Amino acid sequence: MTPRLLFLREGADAAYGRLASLAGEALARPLFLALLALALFIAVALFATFGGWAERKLIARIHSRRGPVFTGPLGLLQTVADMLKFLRKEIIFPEGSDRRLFALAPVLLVLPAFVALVVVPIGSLVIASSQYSLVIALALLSMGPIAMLAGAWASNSKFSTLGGLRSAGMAMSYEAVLALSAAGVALSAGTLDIAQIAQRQADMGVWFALTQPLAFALFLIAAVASVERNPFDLLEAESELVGGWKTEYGGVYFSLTLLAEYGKLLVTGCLFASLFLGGWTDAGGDLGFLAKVLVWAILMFSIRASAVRMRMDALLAKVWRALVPLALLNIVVTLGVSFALGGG
Amino acid sequence: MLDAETVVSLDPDVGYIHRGIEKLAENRMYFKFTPIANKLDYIAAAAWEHLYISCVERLIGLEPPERAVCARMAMVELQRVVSHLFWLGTLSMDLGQPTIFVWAMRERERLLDVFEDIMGGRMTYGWMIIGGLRDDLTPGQAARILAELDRLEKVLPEYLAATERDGLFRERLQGVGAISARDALAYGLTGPAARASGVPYDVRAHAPYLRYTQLGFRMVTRAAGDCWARYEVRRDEMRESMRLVRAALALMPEGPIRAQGAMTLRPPVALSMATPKDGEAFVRNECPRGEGAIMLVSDGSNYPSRSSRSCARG
Repeated sequence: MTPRLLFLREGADAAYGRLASLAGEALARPLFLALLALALFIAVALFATFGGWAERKLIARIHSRRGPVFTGPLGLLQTVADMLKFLRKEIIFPEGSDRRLFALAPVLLVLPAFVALVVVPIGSLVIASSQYSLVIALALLSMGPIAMLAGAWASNSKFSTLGGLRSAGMAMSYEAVLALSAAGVALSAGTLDIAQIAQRQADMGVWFALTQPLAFALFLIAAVASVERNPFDLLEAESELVGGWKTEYGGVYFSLTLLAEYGKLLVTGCLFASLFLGGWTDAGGDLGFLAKVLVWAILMFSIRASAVRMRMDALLAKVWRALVPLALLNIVVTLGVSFALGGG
Repeated sequence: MLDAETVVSLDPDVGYIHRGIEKLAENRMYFKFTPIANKLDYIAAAAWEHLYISCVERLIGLEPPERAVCARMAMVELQRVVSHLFWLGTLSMDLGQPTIFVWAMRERERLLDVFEDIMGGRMTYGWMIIGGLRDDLTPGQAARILAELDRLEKVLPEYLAATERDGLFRERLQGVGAISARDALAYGLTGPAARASGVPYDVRAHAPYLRYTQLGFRMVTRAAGDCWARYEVRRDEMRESMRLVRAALALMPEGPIRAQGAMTLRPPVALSMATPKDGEAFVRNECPRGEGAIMLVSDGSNYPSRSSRSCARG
């Protein structure tokens, strides 16, 4: 089934209608999509900029430091200044690197995060609705490690290679958990459409976080791994691998990797809110959704400031010996319960 | 060489630590080497300052007064706490956790302020002089040390709990980098690293200096030999050192801080230093990161004719 464009939000529909009456039906659609893409880019860029600022501030407070203070009020413009610095830097290709792939990898890394936001509900705004939006979103999330591996290989550096291999090894393990825990929710809701999963929670009057606690916990762990933060920051691991897979990246390419990082954080945050916390469907509406995503981001930042990096072998052992079996168990129990209730 | 994530073999690239210190010592009058002795290990400078000064004192046959000895002991042990705090911070940094690093550095910084107050410098001092101390340790300064220790004893358990209660932290250290007692001896490990491998060797116990015997120094050892054991040894040593600082301050009598014949750098400069006779002196100390040893050979002049130092680190 092809995904169809659907704007759940009345405002978006109204805006599209007005545009259609102004520019004509034929032009309205591509024009609207272009505007939407621009808006999406600005939204992610803003999230990356101020999410980055918030992360620095929060972690600084946990460290009992102040964090950025000099650039703008409360140091709010620090990340903007950093961006400007990145953009002005010379692009350096390491000796013996595969230039084309080296340049392509960061772009490949950023793209999936943006594309995922097309199918993942951002509050009540769903840009493209599909019956399989959950599968599409998870598939797009899993493209990140491929881009990292490509970038690592293209860099022709031992630290990059080690980081890239770690990213591939990790991805193979946590993605199973991510998909299996999401599957628990999907089975319970009877649909693979994220928007409908959120709606189902409103119908039931209870969050999946409460009815699917095991899936919730597993998703949380796997999602932390997918955004590559402590205790799962093995692929960057500055005290072991200099900068991991992105050791050789600088300037604008480095800023792209940061953008991808926060884009991923936003996608997983939106998934988290819609799959387990009812999305925008309860009393809080879109503001409530925003609050849930912020809770997610703050949780990620706090975990980063308090956990030590795991060892690769311990990580793989834990995932395959504990998390994957638990996720499978959760699916079996979910199926059992739904059969017992006669839902089927 | 790496096999996946396991280090299979490595090529040690040694020699970078050689700085020609021995030759520097031969070209200076005894007291002028003190600043360089501080820089032998600049994050535990008091320990090396004491080691050098006490070696010269043995060469001359000069005994510092009791007050100076107790004050030195308090500062040397406080230096061990500072050094181990630095270790705690950098350890967690290596584990990818800067939070504990910043916390440990904050506590270290407070103690460095105390050092500056008492010894005149945060990192390197020149406070101990041949035959005594440059400046007295006043009652106010002693009270400041005690207040800082009270504070540290209150906050340190918090920091340690933040690490020890974290299962991942333990997992990173337990069973990692295990060194057997035999290997420890074969590699010549000393200090906390050797004691964590079950080698009960501490200069403070085996060749006591200062007032360790009198204050009942308790050696900390562990058998496992892994990173966790080294963590436990240093953690317990911090506690033992804090106890020793308190005990040394309590033991400190009133009295002079310089022996007859001690050389001061204060004007009017009286170079009335007792000149060493022909001979040699060898002194060992338990520095925070391992055993430190200095040997001085005198030909009767104001300059040492030979010097050598060794520092086996864990």
